[in-house]
Amino acid sequence: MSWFEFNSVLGNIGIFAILALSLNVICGMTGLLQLGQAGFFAIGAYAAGLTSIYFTFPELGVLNFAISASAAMMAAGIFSIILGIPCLRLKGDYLAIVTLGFGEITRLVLINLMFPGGKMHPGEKIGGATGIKFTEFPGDLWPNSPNYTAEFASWWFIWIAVIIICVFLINIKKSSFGRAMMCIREDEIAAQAMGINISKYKMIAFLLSAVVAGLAGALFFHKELSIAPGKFNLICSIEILLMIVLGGLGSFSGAVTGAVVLGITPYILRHVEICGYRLGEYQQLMYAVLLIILIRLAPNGIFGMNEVPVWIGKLLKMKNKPPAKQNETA
Amino acid sequence: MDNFLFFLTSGLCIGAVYALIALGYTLVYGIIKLINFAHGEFYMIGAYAGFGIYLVLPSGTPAILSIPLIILSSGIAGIIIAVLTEQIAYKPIRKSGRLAALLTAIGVSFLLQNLASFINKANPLQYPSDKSGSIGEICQRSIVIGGGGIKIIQFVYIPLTIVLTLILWHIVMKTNFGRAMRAVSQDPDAAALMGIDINSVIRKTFLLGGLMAGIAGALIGFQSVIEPMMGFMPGLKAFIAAVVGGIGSIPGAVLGGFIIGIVENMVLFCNIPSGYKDVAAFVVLILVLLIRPQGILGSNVREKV
Repeated sequence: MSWFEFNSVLGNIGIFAILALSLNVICGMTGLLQLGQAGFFAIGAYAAGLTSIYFTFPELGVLNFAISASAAMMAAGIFSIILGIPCLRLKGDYLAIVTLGFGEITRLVLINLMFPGGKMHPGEKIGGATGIKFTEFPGDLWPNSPNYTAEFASWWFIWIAVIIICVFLINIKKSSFGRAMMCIREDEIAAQAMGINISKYKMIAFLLSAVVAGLAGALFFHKELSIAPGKFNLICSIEILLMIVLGGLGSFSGAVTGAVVLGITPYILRHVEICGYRLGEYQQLMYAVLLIILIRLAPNGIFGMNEVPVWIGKLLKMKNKPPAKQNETA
Repeated sequence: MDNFLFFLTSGLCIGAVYALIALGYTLVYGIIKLINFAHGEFYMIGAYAGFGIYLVLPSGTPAILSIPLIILSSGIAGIIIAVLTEQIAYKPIRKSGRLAALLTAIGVSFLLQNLASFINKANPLQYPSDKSGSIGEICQRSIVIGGGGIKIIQFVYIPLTIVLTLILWHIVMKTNFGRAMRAVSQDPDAAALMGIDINSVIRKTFLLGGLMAGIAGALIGFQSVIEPMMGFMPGLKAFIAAVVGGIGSIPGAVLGGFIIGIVENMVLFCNIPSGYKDVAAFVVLILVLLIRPQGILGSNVREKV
């Protein structure tokens, strides 16, 4: 595995870890089934991409990333409010289907939508099934900086973002917001009876989840510099869901673990051969089998709902236990 | 306006297929409250089974004999895969909650898609239409209606759907099994106390749903290509149809199917780019859920605390 590939794989895993964290807010903590996270991911990536193509100023350097990332988060947030206000009234499976529909609509609209080319592609139309692309800005447009690319998100930058978001969300989980959301997950009617404003907290969870997914989209764009709508399909949403189910619904460290495990597996499988069959080619087949087996055998995932798995806690307790009674009697 | 009639007919024909699939969704959802994502795959497997029978039949078989045979075998394949799925995947997790069931359904759906593309290597199949009098050729013949060609085979869809719906309606409303089914859908525990074998009722429900989906697969196989991913979009649209019509209601599913089929074709009629065709169904779904969440013909179930 070359250094470049290693870099790209680590970055991709980090981006999917952020997506898993974002989905965990709405699915794991609030208990609303969201099957269209790829839609917010796509909106974030496209918003970041279009902002970069239209409003990049090489003099600003890193600030360009801040601008496009904020645009991505804002775009995802606005769409989540537009979708959330009417749809969060729906319950259970209906919400799952509407969000699934939202993801698919986003992808289909992006396939059919054309944008003006801006400064980078003057006179052209960009978008459609081939997606949008950030090529180098030629030096003669900005004499001070000879060639400018927006490639910014390297693997360590993405992983710093993963850690910050993970700590932030764990803190949210411990706050009264998080407790209210988890209360809604356990029993909506009981939560309402306890004085929790259900629609408000559902909306907050939905918004938070979409904004984080939008940030993941911005990182994805600044890593790849070329995005196409085909990437943001239903399989992408399902993969994210599989990650949080594997890690344990409701556990943020579990979500990151799930993303790492599922992200590394295909690269390991690519080099494994059994009876002449390359296992890497059957990745999706194995994902499907894994999902079915996982739900049957370990419905709580690796971490359950805890941030630290129960068995580690037990191990620590055993170490701290006072010495056994034998000493006392002796 | 001149080709309005064409789009209307075309919408009604495809709507009939959606209706057939939607009936399976509505039955299964009505009884175990599970969105069976794998239902679109039953339809895909039905189409493949029909093509398989076509390959086995001697080449001189007259179309009038082979077409019903293909439809029948597709239905049987649909039954087999539906019952197997229920027994192997859904039965063990029936008590583990809605999320577990839904995720399993998604898993089964992906599994069947990938198995099909593993076996078929993702080469789209089509009934060959080179010889005159062969099935492929007969199915490709078309009649011009309102400025566009409608394939002859499409005229079979609507009567077949109506006949199957009436049979289903009779089974659900008039037979003992239907009464057991309605009882289980109202309250499974109480139904079990009354001596109804719930497992058998659920199995037979999947059997009916699989039959309908398999037949729908055979019908679509006649007019377009057969490929592993073919079940995904029609499956989603049929579920939308079932929700739009009111999930759990048999006339609702049929009405919803026709509505989705017509709306989809009206998008083309209004000169909106055909890429937005698939968006239309989701827009209808969101609108219906906002205005009348229980669906057009659905009854409002009040939640008890």
